[in-house]
Amino acid sequence: MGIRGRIALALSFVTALAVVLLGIAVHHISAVERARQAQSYQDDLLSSALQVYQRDGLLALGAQLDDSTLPIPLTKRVGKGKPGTYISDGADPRVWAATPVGDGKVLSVSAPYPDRDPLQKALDKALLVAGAATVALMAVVAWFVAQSLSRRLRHSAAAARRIAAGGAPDAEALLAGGRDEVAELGRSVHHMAASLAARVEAEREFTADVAHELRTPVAGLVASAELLPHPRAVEMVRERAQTMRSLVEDLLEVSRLDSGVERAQLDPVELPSLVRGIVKRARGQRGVDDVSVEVVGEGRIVATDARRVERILVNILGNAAKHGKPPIEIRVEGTRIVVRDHGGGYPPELVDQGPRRFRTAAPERGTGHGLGLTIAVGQAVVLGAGLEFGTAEGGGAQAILDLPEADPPAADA
Amino acid sequence: MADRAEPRRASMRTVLAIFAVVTVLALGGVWFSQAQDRASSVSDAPKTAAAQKSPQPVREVPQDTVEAASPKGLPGVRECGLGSATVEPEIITLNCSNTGVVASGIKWAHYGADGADGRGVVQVSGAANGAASSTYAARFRLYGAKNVDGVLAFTGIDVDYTGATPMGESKETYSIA
Repeated sequence: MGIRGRIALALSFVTALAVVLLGIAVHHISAVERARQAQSYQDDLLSSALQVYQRDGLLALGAQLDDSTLPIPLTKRVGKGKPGTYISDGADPRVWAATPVGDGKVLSVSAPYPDRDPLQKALDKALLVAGAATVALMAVVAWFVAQSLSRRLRHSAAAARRIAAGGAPDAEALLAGGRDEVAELGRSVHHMAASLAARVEAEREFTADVAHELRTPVAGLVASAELLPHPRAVEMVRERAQTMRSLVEDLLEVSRLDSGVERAQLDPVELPSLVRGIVKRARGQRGVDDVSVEVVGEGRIVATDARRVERILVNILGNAAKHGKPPIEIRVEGTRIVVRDHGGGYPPELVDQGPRRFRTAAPERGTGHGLGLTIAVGQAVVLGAGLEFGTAEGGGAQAILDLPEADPPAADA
Repeated sequence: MADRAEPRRASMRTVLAIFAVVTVLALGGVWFSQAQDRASSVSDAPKTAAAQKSPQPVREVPQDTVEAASPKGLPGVRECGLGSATVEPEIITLNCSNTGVVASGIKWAHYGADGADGRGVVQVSGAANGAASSTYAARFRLYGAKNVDGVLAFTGIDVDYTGATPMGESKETYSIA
């Protein structure tokens, strides 16, 4: 049940409870007051009847002398010399007033006292109708109030989701007017998002600056290594310089992907041919050798950026060659490209949370910078494609790249 | 520390809320039961007790010494035409056939030989519902003073109801001699 239903239900329940308690109290007070008035009226009549009796010896106002049906509690009271009033139960409930008049005689008056008074019944009916109407009205009002509250919370949640998906903090959605808790929540989320965005931007700029500053000296280092006299030293320096240059290039690419400035150049491409070409070019690089390509079904044409697809697949193949075990199998199924190896598989945290830069895999998958798969994910986002990491049947790492299909040709085309 | 302080406050609020609800219910139950006891027990009759302690003073006019007992020659009221006459009575039986209608609590604004005017209430017995009022505010006017059985007394009384009426008539006339 949503917050609207809960609030409406809670308010309706509390209102119903209050109405019931109030109704019982009013009914009870009314009954008590009715009894008090009846006894007071009989006291009035008896006082007048007593005056007439004392003056003239007449029995006025229906008064009786030594009534044999006088209730026992009232008889006992009068026996003590005190006048009193009493409401008797039974088949013929009556309200009584009695007083001693000397010589052991008792003067009394009485009147019927029906259990169900018409006024009391009318009051109960009015209470019932008013209570039901109040509960219904309260439920409607609570529903609308809760709906307003819920709508604002949903807007804040949607704005938070957009921020989580990489969007900029939506000040209009989060900085709504008002001083209540919901407005405070929106302001807090906005401030949090703005703060986080500022930190991320600062980190991205730092990464970009570092990579840019390293690029030139690394290139110089590679060129200088060519001038070294000893062949083995040349080879070692060149290898490490190439590694460092590759790392710098990767950092720059990550920085561009983070900044969101990358745009895909979409063209219709026949996917099996594209994959075969990529594999052909990748063989011999990054230790990628034992790779097979299988096309399941008819080859599909996709609208994609071939250069970025190649970047993704090469990074996945390089990861499989470095951290997994051959053979590496690529299967093209419609618009999906499935890459698997026969190693120990991706670590669970990578499968759950995705690749993270500079977070290398489990020790059994070797060492690395964690940038290759991070770049692959970033490029997939640019392509509007899905990239999932998991475990293949029978073990081994499995990555699935799901590309969007090409738009159907226009009718007039 | 903060993680533990919040649940403790919430728990304290819950305890206080439960305590308040239980207290209110308990007090309501006590009040309810006491009210029930009051309704089913014998109660005082303060007006009757007052009338019992201070019987109505009777100012009678002896039949053989009307002039002597009433120097101003004021007529009295004979209760249902019987006995002696009472000057400025506080209570008068209006319907002497069943004595079910009585004017009581009369305060006389004018009382003279030509007539008397006062205010009080008319009480009627035999109501079907004891919880319904049987008392009606009214103005009274005594008239027709004459010597009846050797006693100077008023012979009639007009009743003019100022509010609700027992029989639907706003004015009634009774013979009281």
